[in-house]
Amino acid sequence: MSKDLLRFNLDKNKFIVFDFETEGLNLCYSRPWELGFTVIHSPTERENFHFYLKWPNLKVSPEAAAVTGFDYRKIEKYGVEPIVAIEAFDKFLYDKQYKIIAHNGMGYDIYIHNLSRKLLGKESDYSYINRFYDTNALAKGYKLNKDFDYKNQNFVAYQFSLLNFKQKGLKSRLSLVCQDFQIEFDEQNAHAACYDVNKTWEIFIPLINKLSIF
Amino acid sequence: MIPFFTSHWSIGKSILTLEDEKEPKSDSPVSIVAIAKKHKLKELVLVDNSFGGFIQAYKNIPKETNFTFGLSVCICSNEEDKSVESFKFESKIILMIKNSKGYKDLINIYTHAATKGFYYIPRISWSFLKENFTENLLMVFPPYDNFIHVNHLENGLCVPDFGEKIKPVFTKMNGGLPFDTLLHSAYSDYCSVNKFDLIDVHQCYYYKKEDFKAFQVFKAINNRGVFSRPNLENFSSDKFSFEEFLLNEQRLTKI
Repeated sequence: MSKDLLRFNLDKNKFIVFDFETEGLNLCYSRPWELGFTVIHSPTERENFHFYLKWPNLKVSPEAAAVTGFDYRKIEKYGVEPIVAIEAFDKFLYDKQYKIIAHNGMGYDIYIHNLSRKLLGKESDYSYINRFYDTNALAKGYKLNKDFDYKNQNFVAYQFSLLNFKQKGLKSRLSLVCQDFQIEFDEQNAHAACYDVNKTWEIFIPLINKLSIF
Repeated sequence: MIPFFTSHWSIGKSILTLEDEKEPKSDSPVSIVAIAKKHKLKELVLVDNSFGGFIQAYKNIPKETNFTFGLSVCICSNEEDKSVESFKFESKIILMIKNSKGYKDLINIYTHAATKGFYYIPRISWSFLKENFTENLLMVFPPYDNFIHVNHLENGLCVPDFGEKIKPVFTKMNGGLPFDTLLHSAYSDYCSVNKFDLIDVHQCYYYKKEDFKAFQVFKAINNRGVFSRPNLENFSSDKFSFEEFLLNEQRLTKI
C-alpha cells in the first residue's frame, strides 16, 4: 500500500490550488473579490490564474482592507464579471482528474465558492469534496500526531474532524505552518490570493510526506 | 418527507413561534400554528429541546392537524461524569410521544435530564434511557448531531446502547452541506446492518428563505458574533426553511 501514497505519485497527479479573499467572514453573504488559483497539470506544466471579481457594491471594512490589501481601484480597473472567474475555476474544480488543495478550504473557501455559484444562479455542488485536501486540516493532523487511518476512516471525515478539533495552543495558520517547515513567509504579502496559493502548495509537499495521504 | 419544526422554545435554535395566529405575518415572527393553518398541514411534528412550548402548541395547533411532539435531548455514556471530557461521548436523540401516556413517560425522562443528568444542558445516559423507555414513545435519531455525525465529524466517541427493546428510526436531510453525502452513506450502512428505517425529514427553523438573514443574525448574536463575522462554523446553508420543504415536495412530485 505504501507505494500508492500520494508522496510517491505526485508526478502522476494533477492539482488545483486556490484561495479566495472576501468581503468578510460570513459564509453566506461575504462575497469574494479576489480568486487566485494555480493548476498543476504536470511537474513541469503550471498555469496561474488570478481574478478580481467585480460584484456590485462590494463592502470591505477598512480593517479587512488593511489585512487583505483590498483596493477598490484595482477592482474597477482590472475586475471581471464574477461569472468569468467562477466558470474558469469550475472548469478545473469539477474535472475529476484534478485533486483540489486549499488552506482551510473545507472550513471556508468551499462555502465562499458555493455562495458565488448561488449568486450566479447555479446550484450548490460539492461533488468535488472527495478530491479535496485541506492543508489546515492536514497541518493539525501532523501537529497532533493524528495520521489518516486509511483502513478505517473516510478521508473527508478525517479532515472535517481535524478542522473541528479545538485545542488551546494548537495553531495551524499558513504562516506558522510555513515556519514549521522552514519555508519563507512574507507577512507583507499574506492574504494576497496568489501568494497564499503558492505557499499552500509549498506546505502541501512536506505534509503529505509526514502523513499517510493518498 | 416530513417537516420537523423547531420553535423558539428551543432557545437560540429557531425564530418560529407557537402563537395562535391565522396567517404567517411578514412584519413579525412567524408562527408554526399559522403555517399549519395556511398550508392546511395534516401532520405537524414539533421537535424542541424543552417542554416550554408544549402546552401552547397543544392548545393552538388546529384540531385538523395531527400533532406530534418530540423532545430533542442530549444522550451521553455516563451522567455521573460531569467533566469537559464527557462532551466527547454526547450526541442527540429525539424522543417522540405516541399517546397521552407517552407524555407522562417523557416528562419523567426530561425531569431526570434537567436535574440529575444536567451538565451545562439536560442529559440522559443510554442506561437510563433503556430503563425508562416505554412503548408509548418512539426514539428517533435526528439528521444532524446524532452519534454517527458526532463520531465522524466532531471527534466523538459515542457508543449507542439502547438494547433490544428500542427500535429507533433514523432520519436524514439534504441540508445543502458538503458532508451530507458522507453522512447519508454512513446512515444507510448503519440502518441496513441493523434493519432500522431511514426516513427523509426537513428541519424547519424559519418560514421563508428570505427569513434566513434574520435567523443568522439571531444565531450570531447568541454566539457573540456580528454579521460580517458570525462565529458560526459550517453555517452556510439557507435550506432550513418551510419554503424549502415545499420546493422539495414539488420536485419529488414532478419526479
